[in-house]
Amino acid sequence: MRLLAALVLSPPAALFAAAAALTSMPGDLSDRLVLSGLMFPLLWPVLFFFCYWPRSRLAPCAVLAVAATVCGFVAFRG
Amino acid sequence: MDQARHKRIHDLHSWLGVVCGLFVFIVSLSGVFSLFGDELRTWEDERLRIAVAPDPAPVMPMFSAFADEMAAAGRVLTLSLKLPTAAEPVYAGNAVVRHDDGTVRVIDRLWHPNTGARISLREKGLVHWVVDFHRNLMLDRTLGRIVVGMSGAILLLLILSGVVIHRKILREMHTWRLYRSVRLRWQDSHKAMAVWSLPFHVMFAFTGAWLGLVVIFVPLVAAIAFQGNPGAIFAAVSGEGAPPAGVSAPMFSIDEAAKRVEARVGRAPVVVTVTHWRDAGAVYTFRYREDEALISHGLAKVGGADGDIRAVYLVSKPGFLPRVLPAVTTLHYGQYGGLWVKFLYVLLGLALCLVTATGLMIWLERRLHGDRPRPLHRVLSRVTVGVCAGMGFATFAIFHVDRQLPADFAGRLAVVGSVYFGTWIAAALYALARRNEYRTCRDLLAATAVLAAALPVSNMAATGDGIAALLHEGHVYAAGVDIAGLAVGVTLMAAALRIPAGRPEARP
Repeated sequence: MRLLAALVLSPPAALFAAAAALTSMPGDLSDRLVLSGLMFPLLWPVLFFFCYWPRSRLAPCAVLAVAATVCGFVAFRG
Repeated sequence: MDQARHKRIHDLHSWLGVVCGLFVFIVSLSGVFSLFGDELRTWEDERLRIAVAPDPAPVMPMFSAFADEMAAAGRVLTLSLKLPTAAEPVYAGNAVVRHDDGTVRVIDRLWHPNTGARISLREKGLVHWVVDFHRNLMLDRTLGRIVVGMSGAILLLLILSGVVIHRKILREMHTWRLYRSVRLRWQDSHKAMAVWSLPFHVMFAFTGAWLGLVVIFVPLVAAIAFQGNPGAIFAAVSGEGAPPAGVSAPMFSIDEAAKRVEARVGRAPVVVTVTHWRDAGAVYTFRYREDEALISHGLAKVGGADGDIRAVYLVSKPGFLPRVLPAVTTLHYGQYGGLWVKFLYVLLGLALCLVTATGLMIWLERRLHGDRPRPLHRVLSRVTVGVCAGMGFATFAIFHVDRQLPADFAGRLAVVGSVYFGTWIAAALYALARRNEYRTCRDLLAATAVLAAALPVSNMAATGDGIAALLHEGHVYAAGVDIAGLAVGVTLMAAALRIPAGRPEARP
């Protein structure tokens, strides 16, 4: 379950989080693009790592699914 | 941290290392060689061993003819000219042209810096292989960069999990029990090298991941946040360039413009990019080396029609963030601080290779000499030794092959690639057949040492230029490659001779 979450959910969660940062952060668009671009390669390993942190096997799946959904919503709306 | 969590993170670190360790090793070692792509050029092609005269030939007549020819061939997407440098002492024009039928072609042209005579192009070979194997593993450019970028993300994950499971980092930095059991020796080497070079390895991993993954990040984010328009992202970062004036005009001399830029910034420009050729709104963008900032090049914009310097800057606008993107490549390839920084990067890159290889050996050592050794572990151990030690051997082999092929040889890259993979596979097969990993490692390292030390011989046999002659004529980069080959050969041979013939027993 953890490996599944790490392989399947962490890439879209990282991507949507970076895209949400791009659309919703304050500041100049080019600056936001730089920041979100730098976030993506950092977030992906961190979220992958996070999948092995909680005691519950389901927690990473739930957290990443919710994060991906919320961030995706913010990114598309922005 | 509770035991269960520690075990989970430890397992993540171990299995990720076992599954992806060789991949990270390959990208790291290829990165060490790719640092010297520019410096290898005069060694690779003896026709570029040119002593540039103090007053070189003006490039404008040749470049004008080239630019007009390109404009007549189709829509010019980019047009640039490299000015002579010590590493590449020629004028090198480059154009990317979209023809009427939609095909896009990249056209290169070289001119002698002293006479202006055209130099025929040599087919891509050693340098292209060394640089592009690290950038994209010689796969399709986009796919290859993504795959290599993923190695950076994997390395970040390995580093993160490694730091978390090693809770006594300060003590482990200073522990190196070389005369205890084999496993302890691997473990201490792995931890000490990893911890001492940690900041640089994090930087390599992060910048490498960014350089590779930005290729998928930009179109995906464009699809999500810019309604599928990647052009909007590029425009946001680079700004909309000024449109052409629509009035044709004669072009100002690039030679004179380069002199003006040099007088203004105190450094000779190395590249000029031309936009809107033969238009009153044409712009020359000169790049000059900026060694004192963490940015590889400064920029000077000059009017292409009037020769007036419009702006000189390091980054397009003030602030921290605009400096970040230009700094990423500079940091990753050590393009700051001169050759000494590159030599430091070599050591750190080799340390990363050793950390990866020792990590694999720890995992295998536990299984090979644990309770339940399996034949598969033995095979994995041999393959690991063959792949790791064979990669350097294959890389030095293509130096010799490329050097011995005639200058006008057709299909050079195919031969170089075939020899590279052929030699590498042969080394792996040798490791499988040899049945003794220690002797295999010793043999392959010794063979690599011989190939490296023989670089001056190969160069002299092909071109007649020895190290002394090269130094006397001022070709320091070509001589430097020969000297570096000798130094690497001696070092590797010394290392090979220290490898025991079999698994050593622990001292009491």
